[in-house]
Amino acid sequence: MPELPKLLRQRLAATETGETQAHPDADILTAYMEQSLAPAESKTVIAHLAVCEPCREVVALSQAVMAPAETQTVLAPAPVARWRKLFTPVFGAAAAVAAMAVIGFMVLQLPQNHPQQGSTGATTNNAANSPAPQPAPEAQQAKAASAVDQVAPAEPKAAAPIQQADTRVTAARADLATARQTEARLDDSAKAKAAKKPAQIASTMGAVPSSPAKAPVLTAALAKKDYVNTNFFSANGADKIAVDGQGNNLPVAPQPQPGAASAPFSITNNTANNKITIFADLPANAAGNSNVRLLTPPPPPEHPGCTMCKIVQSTAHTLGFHAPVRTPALRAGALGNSALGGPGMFSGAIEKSQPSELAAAPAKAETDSLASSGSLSAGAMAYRSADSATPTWKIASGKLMKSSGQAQWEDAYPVASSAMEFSVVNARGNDVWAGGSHASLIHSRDGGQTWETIKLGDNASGTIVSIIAGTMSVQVKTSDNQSWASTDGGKSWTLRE
Amino acid sequence: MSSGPRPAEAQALSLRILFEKSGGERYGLTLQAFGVVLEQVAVKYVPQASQQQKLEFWRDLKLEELALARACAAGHDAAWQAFLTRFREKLYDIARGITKEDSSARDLADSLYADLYGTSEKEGRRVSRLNFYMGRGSLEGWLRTVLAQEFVNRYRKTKRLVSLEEQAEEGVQFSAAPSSQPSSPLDSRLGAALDEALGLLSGEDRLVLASYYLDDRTLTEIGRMVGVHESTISRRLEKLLKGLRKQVLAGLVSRGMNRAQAEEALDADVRYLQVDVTRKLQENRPAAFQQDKGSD
Repeated sequence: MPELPKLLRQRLAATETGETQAHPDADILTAYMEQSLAPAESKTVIAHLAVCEPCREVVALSQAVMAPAETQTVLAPAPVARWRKLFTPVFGAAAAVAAMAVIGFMVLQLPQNHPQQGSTGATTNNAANSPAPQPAPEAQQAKAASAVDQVAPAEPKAAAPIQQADTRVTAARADLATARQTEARLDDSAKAKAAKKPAQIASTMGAVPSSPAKAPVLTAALAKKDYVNTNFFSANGADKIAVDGQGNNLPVAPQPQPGAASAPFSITNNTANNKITIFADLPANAAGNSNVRLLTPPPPPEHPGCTMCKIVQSTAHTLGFHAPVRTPALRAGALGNSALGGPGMFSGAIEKSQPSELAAAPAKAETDSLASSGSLSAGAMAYRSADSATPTWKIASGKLMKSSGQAQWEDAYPVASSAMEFSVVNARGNDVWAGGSHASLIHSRDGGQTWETIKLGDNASGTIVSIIAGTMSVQVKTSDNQSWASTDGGKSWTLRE
Repeated sequence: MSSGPRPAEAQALSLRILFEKSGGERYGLTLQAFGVVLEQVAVKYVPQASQQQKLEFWRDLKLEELALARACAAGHDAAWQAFLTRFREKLYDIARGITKEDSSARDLADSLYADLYGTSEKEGRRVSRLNFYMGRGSLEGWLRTVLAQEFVNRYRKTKRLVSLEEQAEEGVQFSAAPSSQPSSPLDSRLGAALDEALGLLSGEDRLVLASYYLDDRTLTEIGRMVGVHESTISRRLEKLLKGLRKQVLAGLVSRGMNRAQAEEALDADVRYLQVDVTRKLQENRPAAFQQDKGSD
C-alpha cells in the first residue's frame, strides 16, 4: 500500500476548509491545549483543526513552546501503590542475583550426587552381586586386575587372569625396571609362570606367621559383599544402620579369623585411637586403592524442602569425599631395589595400582584365605581399626625405645643394650624390624615381646641404615652400601648389587 | 415565615465571591466592572445559559488572570506593573521559542506589547488586545497562542512577497502558472470513494492524518497535539491506512469496479498526486487571525 498516502494527501488537501471557517479564538485554542475545554467544545476544536492548516500550525507552535512548562506543572509524582515500590531496578537486580545464586547451588549440587552414588553403592554392588555375563573390555580389565587382588592361587585356572593383568599393567609401566624383568620372564615362559605363580604365592603365604588374635583383621575369606565397620559407626554417632547407595542394609563385618591359614591380611595404622574417621586415617596400604570403600553414616533426616539442609549436606559430602589422602610417597630407588621387585616376584597388584606405595602390596596380595576364596574384592572390604595398643617405636641414643601410647618410653631390647647400638627401626603393627651397628638385625612378630636375631650374611658389614619391610619381603641397607634382601620373612638373605 | 435570598441577591453574592476570588480589587477593578467582564464572557461562550449555568461557567474561568488582563486593558498602573513583572520575560522567551531567532522574536514580542497596550483608539479609548482575553485558558497560554497566531500571519504575509531573485533561485520565475485542473484527471470514483472513507473518520483521526501527511508533523508533535503518546500515533496511523485502503477498495467495488480494477486504480493514479498536493499546500492563503484585531 505505498501509494495510498499520496492519494490521501491529495484528498485531504482538497477538503481543507480552514479558509472558509471561523477560527477558534486564542482562548479556545489555549483551553484546548491546556485540556480545560468541555468534551463537546474539544470535539469541535479537533474537527476544525482537522481541516484548518493554520490553526494546526498555531497549536503546534504554541505547544512546542509550552512543552517545558507542562513538565513543571507536575508538582508531585502520582501516588504509587506501596507494593509497586518494591519493583524498582534495585529490586530487580537483587532478585536476579538471588536467582543466579540458587541456580548456582543447584548446578554445583548435581555433579556431586553422581560420584557419591557411584562410590557408595552402585558400582560395587553391581560388581559384587550381579556380574555381567559379557563384560565390556574395560570391565574385563578391571575384573582381571581385581582377580589379581583377590589372588586365588589354589585354582590353576586363576593363573590366567593374573598373568593377563600382570602383562597388561607391566606394559603400561615401562619405567619400572623390575616390571620389565617380570614382563620378560612372562614372555619367555608364560605357561610355566602361570602354573608356578599360584604355588609361589601360596607358599609365601604359608610361610607368613599368623598374626596375633588381637590385631584387628578383616579376613579375606569372605563372600564378596559390602561390610560395615561397626566400630566406626558406634564411635561416630547414634546411627547404627548402615545403608548402601541403594538403600539396602549392609551386614556387619565378620570377626577376624585368627590363625596362619586365614589371618595375615591385617591392617594397622598409627593413629592413636585407631578409629577410621577420615581418609587420612586409613592405613597406608589402603590409601589410593580405588577399590577401598568408605562407608559413612547415613545423612541426618532431611527437612522436606529445606534447601539449606541440602546445601550443608552436599558440602559435607564434598569435603569428605574429596579430601586429599595423604599417602607416604616411595623414596626414590626404593622400588627398583626392592626385594618385591625381584624376578617373578613383583606383585601384579602393586604394579596395577600403587607402584609408589610399596607397603600396600603385601597386605593385599598375601592372604591364605584369598587362595581359597578367590572371590574377595578389596573393594568389598571395610577396613577395621587396628589394635588400640599398637606401640610406637623410636631410636634414642642407640637404644630401641618403645611406647604404648602414653608417652612413656621404655627400652624395648634391654638384653643387648650394652652390646648393640641401634640405628633404624621399622614397625608395621606388631611386626618390628630393628637394625644397628655391625649389621645386626632383630625381628619381632609380637610387638616387641619376643625378639629373634637375624643374621644377614657372612660378609654383611656396616651399620644398618635402612629397613624396608613388607610382610614377607625385607630389604636392608648398610652403611657399607650393601643391600640385603629377603623374600621369606628374613629366613634367607641375598646380597644384591 | 422565612425565605431564602432572592435570585438577584444570590447573584450579587456570587459575583462578590468571584470578585474576591479574582483579586481584581488590588488591580484597581471594581465589582461592577468585573461583573460586566463576566457577562461579556458568558455572552460569547454560553449565550443561552441560565444564571446558574453562567455562575458555574464563571467558576471555571481563570478569574485572577482575567481580572489582571482586564485591569491592564482599562489602564490601571498596578495591573500593568503586575503584568510586566509576571509576563515580560516570558513573552520574550515564548517569542524566541516560536521564531527560533532573537531579533525576530523581539520584533514579535514588541509588536504584541504594542497591541496589548493598545496603540489604536476606538471612540476615543485605547483598544487593548487584552480585552479579548476571556479567561478560558491561562493568560500565559493565551499570550503564547496569540504570539503563534501573529507569527503565522507574518509568515504567510512574507511568503506572498517573494522577490524575483528568490524566484530565480528556486527556478519558478518562468514556470507556467499552475492549472486549476489536475494534469491528469483522476478517476472520479476513486476520489469519491476516498472522500467517503475520510468522511467516516473521526475528527481526531482526520487531524492525525492531516498533521502527518499534509503538515509533515512529527509523531511527537502530533501526539502532543492530540494528547497521546507518539507510539500511539504511530500505531493509529498504520491502522488508519489499512482501514482506509479497505474502505476505498470496498467503495470502488461498490461503484462498479472489480477487485483488480480497484487495486489498479489505487496504484495508477498516484503518479499525478504529488503535483496536486504541492500546489495545494503552497497556495497562498489570506491571513487567518485578523478577526480578533479591532473587532471588538
